[in-house]
Amino acid sequence: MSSHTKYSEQLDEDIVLRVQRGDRSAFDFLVIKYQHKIIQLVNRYVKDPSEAQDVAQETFIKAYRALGNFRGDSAFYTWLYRIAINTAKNYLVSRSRRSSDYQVDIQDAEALENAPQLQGMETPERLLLNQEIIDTIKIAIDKLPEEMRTAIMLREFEGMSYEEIAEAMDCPVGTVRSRIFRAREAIDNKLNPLLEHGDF
Amino acid sequence: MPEDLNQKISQFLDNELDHVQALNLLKKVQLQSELQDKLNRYEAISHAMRTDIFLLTKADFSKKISQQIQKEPVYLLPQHKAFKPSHKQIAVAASIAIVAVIAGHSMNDPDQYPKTALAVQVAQNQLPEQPANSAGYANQAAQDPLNKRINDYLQAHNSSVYTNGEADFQRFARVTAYSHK
Repeated sequence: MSSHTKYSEQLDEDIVLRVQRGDRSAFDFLVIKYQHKIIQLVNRYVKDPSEAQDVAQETFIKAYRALGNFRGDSAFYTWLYRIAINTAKNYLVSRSRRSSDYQVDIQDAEALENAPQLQGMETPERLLLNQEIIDTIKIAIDKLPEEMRTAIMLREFEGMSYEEIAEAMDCPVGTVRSRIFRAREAIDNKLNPLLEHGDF
Repeated sequence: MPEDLNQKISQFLDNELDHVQALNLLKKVQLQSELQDKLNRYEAISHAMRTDIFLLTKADFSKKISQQIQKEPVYLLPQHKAFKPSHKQIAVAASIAIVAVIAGHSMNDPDQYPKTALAVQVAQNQLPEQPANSAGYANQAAQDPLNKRINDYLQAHNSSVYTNGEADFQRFARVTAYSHK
């Protein structure tokens, strides 16, 4: 286990303990930390982004209700991901029951993952906007200074830690930290005009 | 928005903050919606770079959950402290148990009585020199009315059942006086 994963798991344990001892607002930290990852995961089952966010919200509420029984036998995120997958599958099954005459057995939830007619709720406008954003990001990356581009690509595509990137680029860790941050800022600035008008 | 906080968000996203720094940042993000928007956008950019899907978390996502959680009951689970006795504690407990068993046997074994009497006699011999009569004790008792009453009681009950007429025990009981203040 890397020290970064260890820090992350320690943080989760600390927050879970706070919630279990009555600090309900500490649960917000877990939501902030995992919201995007859970939405991404649910989105693999529920393609409509708005519905995916509703299912992700339901996931967190279920997690809060079950947190009293969480004893840390597995990592918190593994436990949370399991709840998210079950919630998404149940959602697909209940939706298919609502939208069709035939009954789908709950055991067939796995099969629904590969049923695009039940998942694909994306509108052409949304698909177009998504493509525009992806193109903008690619152009922004191409325009980055080489050191920044290399740093962000090693991080995002290779999953390297700052320390590993520093070693590969032969520079201090602080420089890597700064380059990755500046690369993100540059991309974000290019996206601003699109996001202000887009329906996200 | 302070740039160093945005940089911290970037580090947080990459799991490059330690436990304490991450918790401090989360507290700030919880209170400042601009920081939360920034975190959402960095995460969306990162995801888009890897998957070609841009998925931006709604700004009010965590707020809605927080509002719903406020309606839920609060957990008040007790701290779980598993009792794990050390080897030292186990050894001490075992020693006490053994001593208790041996002592119990020796008290119940009638063959041990002569030894007990002998032990009492030895103990008496080791006692400091007693006054020839109990006048000293009487004087001391007179100074404290409570001690006097207790001494009177002991004198009146010096043939109590627990001495059971044993000569050595009776003699031992007769010299007994309560003189503690």
